[in-house]
Amino acid sequence: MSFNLRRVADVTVVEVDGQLIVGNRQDLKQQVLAELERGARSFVIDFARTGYIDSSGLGVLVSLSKRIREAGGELRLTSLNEDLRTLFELTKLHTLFEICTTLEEALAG
Amino acid sequence: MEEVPPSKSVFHIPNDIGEIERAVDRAVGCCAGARLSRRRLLFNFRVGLTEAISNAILYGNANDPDRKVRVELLVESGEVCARVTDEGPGFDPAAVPDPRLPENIPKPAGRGIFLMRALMDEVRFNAAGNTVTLILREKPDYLREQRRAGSGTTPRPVPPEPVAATLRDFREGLGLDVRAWRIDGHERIPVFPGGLRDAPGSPGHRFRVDLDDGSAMEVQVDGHGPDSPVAKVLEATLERACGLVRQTARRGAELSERREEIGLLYSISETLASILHLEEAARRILEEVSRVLGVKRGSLWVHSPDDDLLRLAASVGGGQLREWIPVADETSITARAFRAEHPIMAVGDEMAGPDAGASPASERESWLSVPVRYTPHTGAARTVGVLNLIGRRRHEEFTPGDQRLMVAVANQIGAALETNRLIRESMARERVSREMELAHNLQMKLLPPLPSIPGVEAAARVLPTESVGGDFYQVLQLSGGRIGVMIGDVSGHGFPAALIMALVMSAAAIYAEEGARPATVLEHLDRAIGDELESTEMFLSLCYCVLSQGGAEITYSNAGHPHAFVVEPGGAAHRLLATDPPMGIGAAPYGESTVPWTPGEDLLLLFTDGLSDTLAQLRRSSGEELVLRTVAENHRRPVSEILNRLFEMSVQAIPSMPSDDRTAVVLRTT
Repeated sequence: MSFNLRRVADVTVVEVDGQLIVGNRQDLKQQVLAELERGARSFVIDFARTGYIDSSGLGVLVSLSKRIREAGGELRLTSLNEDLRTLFELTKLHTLFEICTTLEEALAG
Repeated sequence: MEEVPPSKSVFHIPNDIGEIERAVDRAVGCCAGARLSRRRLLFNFRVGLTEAISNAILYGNANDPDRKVRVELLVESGEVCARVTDEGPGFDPAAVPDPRLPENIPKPAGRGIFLMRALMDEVRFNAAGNTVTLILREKPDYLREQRRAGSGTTPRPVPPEPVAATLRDFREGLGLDVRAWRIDGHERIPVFPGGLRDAPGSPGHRFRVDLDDGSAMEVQVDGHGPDSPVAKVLEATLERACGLVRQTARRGAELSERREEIGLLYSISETLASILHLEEAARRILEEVSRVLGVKRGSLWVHSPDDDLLRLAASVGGGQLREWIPVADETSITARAFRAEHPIMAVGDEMAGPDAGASPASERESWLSVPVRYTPHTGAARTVGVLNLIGRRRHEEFTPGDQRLMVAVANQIGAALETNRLIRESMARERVSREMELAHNLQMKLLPPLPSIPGVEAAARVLPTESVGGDFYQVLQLSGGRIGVMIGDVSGHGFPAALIMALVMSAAAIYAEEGARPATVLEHLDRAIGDELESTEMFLSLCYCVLSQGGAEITYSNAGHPHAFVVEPGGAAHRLLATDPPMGIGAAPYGESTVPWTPGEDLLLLFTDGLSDTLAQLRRSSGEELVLRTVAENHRRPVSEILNRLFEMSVQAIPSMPSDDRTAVVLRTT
């Protein structure tokens, strides 16, 4: 389980490699908030390599989206597998996030 | 398909959220025998169980590190039941609000119990509220049903794009009156063209095609009968488009499942590797079983196929047991249970066999002898050992219930025994030697013969070690009469190093041939292999030089490669100083430097640590000095002779296998 951060133009892309669950959610939060503090405003979290997310993982995404929005920034999620998309729909969280199909789409305008 | 006997496992988890993922993977590993879709096991069950355990740790046990969480798994062929118990006071699940209410959506917490209920087939809390029972049953597509049931989330209203494109082409391109409906159970949803509301009319040709998600699409072409060529072409084209869509969907699903499976395999093998000491693991299992059932003595016998003996692997409770029992022994209960492949329950005198261990002859004791079976994922089950329990403390007899429990335990042991054997075998030879062979072949295959370039005299060689490293070189003829020379050394050995080398070489050739500057080539490489380097914690020293056409200069980028020189005829050597740290440590942008070059005079000399380290053992001076001196002394000779001289010396230095690859490139232009 790891998070890889990289910059594509002015967008910070966070690749989640593994599951996002209660045991590691704080790492993600800290890394994203640190970038936010350094001035980054556009974030894309890429779940192409993620099998599952638990409720606290969802919780971290919710609180990150709030913090980023408060700072005038934007958070997009991308490359969710079908099960994960269903998870967002079941919890109605798809209404809260901008969810893109591909990374290219998430990076476009 | 063979029915898998029910099995039960219990384990305890420290009250630490960092332990959850491993515990969940372990539980999933225990469920391998259940006839459930892998996808539901890998997603629904994992998320559901993660929720249950994290609730137990954080809320039930109030994050108290002295408490534990108990996980009990009951696996039957079409059902998996997990019971998670904490040591806390319990709670009222009915008091948890619905996280889907508008006011709750923006809240970061409160979705755990909802997710458990949404993903599992049954969720029950005990009256105290400190035990939750999760059940997942065999059912084809639960998630999809959830999707349909969930309000506001209808399945894709439009057909997949290739299908929609075909419909558009025929309607707009050929002016055909084509309409389409999605048939979903008894529902008929108009999908094409947009705005269509009416049901299909009577005239025209009508047919069905299957879509990727199990539903069908009905298509009508007005004004054309079934024999019309246009209608036929449309039908065939649509079918092909649907086939393509299905194929793509299947590939995608396979790929993501494969990735999950590999992850799971890793964690299971990690767990099992930690119980490589079979005897210790067996003894612990016996102790636990004896305690639970109140048994005096227990022993585990493992079959050794070479001599057809049952060998004692572990015993508890004392008794003087033999080291081995022949499988053919008629008097031994252990051997009989092994041969019969079913449990033997007995009491009394017939226990006088040699495997009972010393016990007073007057004492009538109960026996339970259970064959240890291993059921591979494919193929028939086989017996790999025997588990014996002898003498209950309160002189009770064993019951059929005990027997069922022991069969389940024996199945667990069987899997562990088999894995243990496989791990030992493969660790001993297969994996290591195969990996080395693969890596060696890869390394050799990738190092192409040097191209013959007019005006360039070059020689290069890699002498790989037994434990293959990741040295490589490349000489490339670039556009505009320029020449590219690269040398690299991947830290680390074996297949991962060879893989990195392979990636670098193929990527380097592509970018270099595009005529990019050295720094740009390194930046492209960094992008191509950065993730791989980071995840394997390896790094790469790499020097890439470009000689200008007929030229008077060398432009280079050097990511931490220590041994790169321009050697003048007089022997003066100018080091091509590193412009950056090694790749994997440093990052883009990469620097670039330019040094003068005299064609026909100067030699470009690149080599790796392996060569200089080997030479260092020949004399007391440093290996690098010796390489430079040797090159200076032979400066006027053909480059192939210089190279030979260097390698001859290194072989003299260490006749046996050195620890690292030795690589060198020598080049001169005329």
